Amino acid sequence: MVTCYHCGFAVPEESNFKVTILKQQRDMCCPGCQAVAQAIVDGGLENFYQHRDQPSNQAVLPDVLENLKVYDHPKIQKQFVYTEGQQANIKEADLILEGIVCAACLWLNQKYLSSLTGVLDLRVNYTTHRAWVRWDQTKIQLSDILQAIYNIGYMAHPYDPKQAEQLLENQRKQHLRWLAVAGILGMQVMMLSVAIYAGDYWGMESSYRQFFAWVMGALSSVVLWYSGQSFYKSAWRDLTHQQLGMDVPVVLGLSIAYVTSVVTTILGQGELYYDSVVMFIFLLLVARFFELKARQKARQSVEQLNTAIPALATRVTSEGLEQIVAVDIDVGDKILVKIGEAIPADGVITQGCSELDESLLTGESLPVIRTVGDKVIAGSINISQALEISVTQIGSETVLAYVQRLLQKAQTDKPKVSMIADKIASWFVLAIVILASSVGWYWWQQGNEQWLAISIAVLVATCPCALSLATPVAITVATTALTQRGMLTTQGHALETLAKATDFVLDKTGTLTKGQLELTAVETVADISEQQCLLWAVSLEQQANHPIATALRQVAINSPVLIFDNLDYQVGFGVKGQYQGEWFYLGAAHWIASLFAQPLPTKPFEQYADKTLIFLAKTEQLLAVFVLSDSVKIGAKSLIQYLQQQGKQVHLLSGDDKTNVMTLGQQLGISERHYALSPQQKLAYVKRLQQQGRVVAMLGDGINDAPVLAVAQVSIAMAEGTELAQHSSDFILFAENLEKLPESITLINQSIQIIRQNLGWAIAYNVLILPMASMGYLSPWMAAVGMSFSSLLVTLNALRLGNK
Amino acid sequence: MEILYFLIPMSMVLVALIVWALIWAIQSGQFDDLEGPAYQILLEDDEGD
Repeated sequence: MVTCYHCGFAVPEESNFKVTILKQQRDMCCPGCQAVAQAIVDGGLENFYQHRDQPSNQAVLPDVLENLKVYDHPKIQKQFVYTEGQQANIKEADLILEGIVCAACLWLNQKYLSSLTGVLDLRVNYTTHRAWVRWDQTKIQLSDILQAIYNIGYMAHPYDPKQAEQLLENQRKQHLRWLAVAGILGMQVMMLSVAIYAGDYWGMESSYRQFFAWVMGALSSVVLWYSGQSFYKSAWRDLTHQQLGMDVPVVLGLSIAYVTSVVTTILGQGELYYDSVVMFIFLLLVARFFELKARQKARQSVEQLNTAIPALATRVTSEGLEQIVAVDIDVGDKILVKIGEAIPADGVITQGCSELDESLLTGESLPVIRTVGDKVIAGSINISQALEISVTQIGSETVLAYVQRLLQKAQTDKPKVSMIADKIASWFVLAIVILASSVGWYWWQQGNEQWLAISIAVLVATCPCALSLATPVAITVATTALTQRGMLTTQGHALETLAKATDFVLDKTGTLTKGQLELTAVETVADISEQQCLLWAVSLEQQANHPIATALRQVAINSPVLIFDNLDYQVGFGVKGQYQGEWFYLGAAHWIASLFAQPLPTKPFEQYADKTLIFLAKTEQLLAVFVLSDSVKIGAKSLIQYLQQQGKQVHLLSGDDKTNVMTLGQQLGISERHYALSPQQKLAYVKRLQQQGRVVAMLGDGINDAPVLAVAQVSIAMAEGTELAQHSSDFILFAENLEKLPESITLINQSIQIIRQNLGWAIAYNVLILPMASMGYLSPWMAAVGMSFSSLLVTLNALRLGNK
Repeated sequence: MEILYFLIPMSMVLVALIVWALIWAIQSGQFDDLEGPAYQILLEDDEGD
């Protein structure tokens, strides 16, 4: 099979799009890719193809481009374009780049855009896929820049970064500054304390020792007040809320060590703990920095959903079309969505039939077909034909906004095991404080000079930071990764239950099968080609709106149709119509037979006994038979195999009749098959399993199986994006295919495993370190190192999930 | 060893400079993208051929 050199898709047979790249003729799949590749070659940037390590995305059709002009409108620019400095013609904007698959893509954008006259400065960020551009308005317009990006095969939207994302970015920079100060000043403190330790051993003039102590004190004060402020703030917040958080012992330890050292410095005798203070702050900041990065990444994936909604829309009014800013859309407005545009609000299609790319929610690359009366969701991209939609939900009411809220909620949700850990942690803090003071008191009674050092060591070493960090990071990373695979987690604690499930109960229609008819075969009877028969059939059904018509139309969604005269739909029978004077009939066997006044030959079609058959005939002559059936979803078989390999019991429950359920069960290798069940019977079945002590995970259609889903310990609902808000299951699978489900389940198992490892480690570490610290075997700096590395370890362990 | 009274304050001045430089680098976005520039150097080099 020939694949497109640009995007890697299969090249359709009769097409002939070619571009010479790197001295060779390369095949292209579509005019879009051809144009893009040509633009890249003409720009002298062929090297891109040598350096990319992923095929590019398929190019957008050029129709979008005229819309870009509206980005030049001052009213619209007000949202995201800034004027820098004195010169009014120098503008700046932030862009989100889409279609970036590898580093070479960024290079391409950077090179190509910088070569445009009028573009003054451009920065592209590989990590965030964001770009910042500055241009001279008198030489180039924003729309030209955006168009240039489209020309080389990417998409760009201007966006307003002064939002939550910016806030996190500021936090990250703040954190880096704290780290820098703590690190550099910390090194000086360490260097001087080595001198003092050496001096204690070999002897040192006390005037130098005093001098060093003052310098260390000054440096440590800066570190404590600047880099350590976040710990103090969060401990203060906890205390004012009458809670004992993990920062309370940190702050106590830091304060005692610092104050003691200051007293020592002033008096000129005693122990100095400045080195422990700075080291503790630095290492703890490192661990927190990684946690922040994980949150930032999760946050970005949520924000990405937002940016899918276009900034502009075309409203259809009685006076004609008008361009409006997307935020001005109202419920009830009629919006025109052209090819290549994203849908600006949730709505219902009132005109047109097109393919929509809903991959944003489903993670699926294949577009879905939507026609008049179907619901569409904001953010999906219109691919094949212009649509007119009537807006039903806007702003925070949209499915996308709902998904964002659910996701944010799930990411803050904690599994049961971690809730216990949290409860333990706050008791633990109290216990540590009491223990540290009693250990200190005990050693003081014993006359040990090191009593203060020992109690600091106890406070610091046993701080339950690792315990508190063990789960949240893992949950955040796991839910983000799951969402990217088309599975939305609505309850964070469901991860744990799913990992423990022993039985998977599956519904048939809509879960393992697509739940809608599809054309599976065409049997021609007369000597006429399959294509010709299909064309007649599709043309006859062009105006109809029942499952059979939809199934037939899907086969030839974009091909031209014949115009039939005198079309006559007879409900329950079929349709007839005249083409070039000749009558054509398409319908059920009994209807065609009654027209022929004799039974139809049944012999050739016996193999299709369990399928739906539709006959096409021309005046007294049978032409073809279309075989339609509800087909099994892609990935169903591998899902069943995967579950069985994992040692899970798989049950198939269906309300469908015996033949269908048995055939499907056999095909997929499920032995537990139950047919013709009412919802009550399904419910009873699940309850029976639960009484036997099984943990049941139910996969079902979100609406029909809602009661059963609610009873199962953990539920995964299949949902088309449009119906999302009606569900209340633990997970929602947007993807129509089941392909990615085994991967998702593996990921869930791994995340639970990682949480267990983390908690296990945190507890084991605390249990081991406590006696050592209380016995006085640990100096404060050792305690600081141990505790910080423990936190770092659990954070990094959780971050492994994101790399899968 | 009296020189220490001069050298250590001097090193503090140096440290202050380093801290200032680092904070400036963070503010001006030098650490915003730690992956991209690594690739960029490879791509730029190939311009010649």
